[in-house]
Amino acid sequence: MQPVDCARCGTRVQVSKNSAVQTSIQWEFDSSSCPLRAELALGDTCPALSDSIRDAVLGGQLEVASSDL
Amino acid sequence: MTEVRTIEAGAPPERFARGWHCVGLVRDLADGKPHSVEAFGTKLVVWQGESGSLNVLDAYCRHMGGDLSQGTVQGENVACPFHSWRWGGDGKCQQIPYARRVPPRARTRGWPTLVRDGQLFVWNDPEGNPPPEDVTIPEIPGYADGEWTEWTWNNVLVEGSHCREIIDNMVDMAHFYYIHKGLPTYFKNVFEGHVCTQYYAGTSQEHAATGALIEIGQYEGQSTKSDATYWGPSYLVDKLWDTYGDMTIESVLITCHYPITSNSFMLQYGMVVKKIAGLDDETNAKIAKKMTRLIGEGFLEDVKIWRNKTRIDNPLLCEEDGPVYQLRRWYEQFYVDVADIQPEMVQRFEFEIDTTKAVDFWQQELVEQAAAKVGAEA
Ligand code: FES
Ligand SMILES: [Fe+2]
Repeated sequence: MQPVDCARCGTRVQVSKNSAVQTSIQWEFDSSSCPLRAELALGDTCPALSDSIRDAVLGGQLEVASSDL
Repeated sequence: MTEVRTIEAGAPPERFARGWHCVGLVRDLADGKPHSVEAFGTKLVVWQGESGSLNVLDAYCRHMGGDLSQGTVQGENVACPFHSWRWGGDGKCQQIPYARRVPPRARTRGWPTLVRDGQLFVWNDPEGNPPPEDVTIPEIPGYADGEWTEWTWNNVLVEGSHCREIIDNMVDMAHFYYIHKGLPTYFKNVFEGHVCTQYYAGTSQEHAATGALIEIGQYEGQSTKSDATYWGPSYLVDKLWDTYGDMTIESVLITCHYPITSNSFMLQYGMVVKKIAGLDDETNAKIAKKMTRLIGEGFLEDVKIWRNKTRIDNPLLCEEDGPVYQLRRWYEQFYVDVADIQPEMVQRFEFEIDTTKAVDFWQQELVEQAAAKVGAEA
């Protein structure tokens, strides 16, 4: 997993992606640091964090690669 | 030499999960008679006192071991069938009709209870602490106002398996195709705190077999959307939207269980359906019954698998499998003392599966099967 910082709130999460669609996000705590959390359903990924992950992939900081199985 | 993978079966935990466990419907338990529930390695007695409150105690009478669930309800208390000691819902012996006084130590184990939308819950905690305020069971919006049908409810006794098997279903994308005749197109899990969610969207295999385009949200025929959340270790609330053409049926499916021993559990499933405007209650109830029957058939397929499979602590996963290890890490929090809950058991974790390859393969398989069937009939 690699660290990704949310561009909106600065929360650091650990992310891995084994395809364009597949994403694993490990938070360090609960999600209360996310300012959008209150408006989101439990299972929704924060859209700002999703954008940050997408940008990390586009910028080459986050590699999309097969996970070690 | 290539190494062969070895299964580590492990052993089921000896303790029972901390949390609220649904033991059944109020309408089945609140009839003025004591009921027996074998759970948590012992037997419980459930009864409704004359004031209307539901009580749960250990069933084995602390006097000489009589089974209170075979006794009678006397006012607020339950009377033991052996020597008629009267026990109150707080666990205290209130009266011994033939004795001058009740021994001050005449106290048995009482179980905290909760009633929600017509269901009775019992709190289990091996450490003996009361339920925390923030660990509760949500209400179904509109249930109290009669917007939903009455509960359908069924029990299935599962022997020879620990209840972790049913928890594994939460992350098991592929089994929805092979076991439950679904075709998942979207699948995501989120774990946080004592809550675990599965987001699912898919279509029916019949629909996929027509070769129709089945990208997410583009099923013309039939689709299912499901948001399923475990509130604690044993109570799954699954909000379902089943769409047939231009009609969508909204329902809430409960799948819950309580452990009997570390190697058996009582699986229960029940459903309420949002009443469809324009249909009378009887017709709405019929829809609920039919949907429950179909779901029940699905559970029996699960049970068949569990009966024959081995326990496995080290599943071997592919990239299209869900996060089994993280799920079990989450589940572990209910089996340790509160002081021993590790951050990784409760930290938020999100996992979305890429279903592209699976959906392509499954649809092709279904289309070929359908063609072969037509060929055989011709
Ligand atoms: S064993 Fe219950 S009253 Fe004696
Ligand atoms: Fe299943």
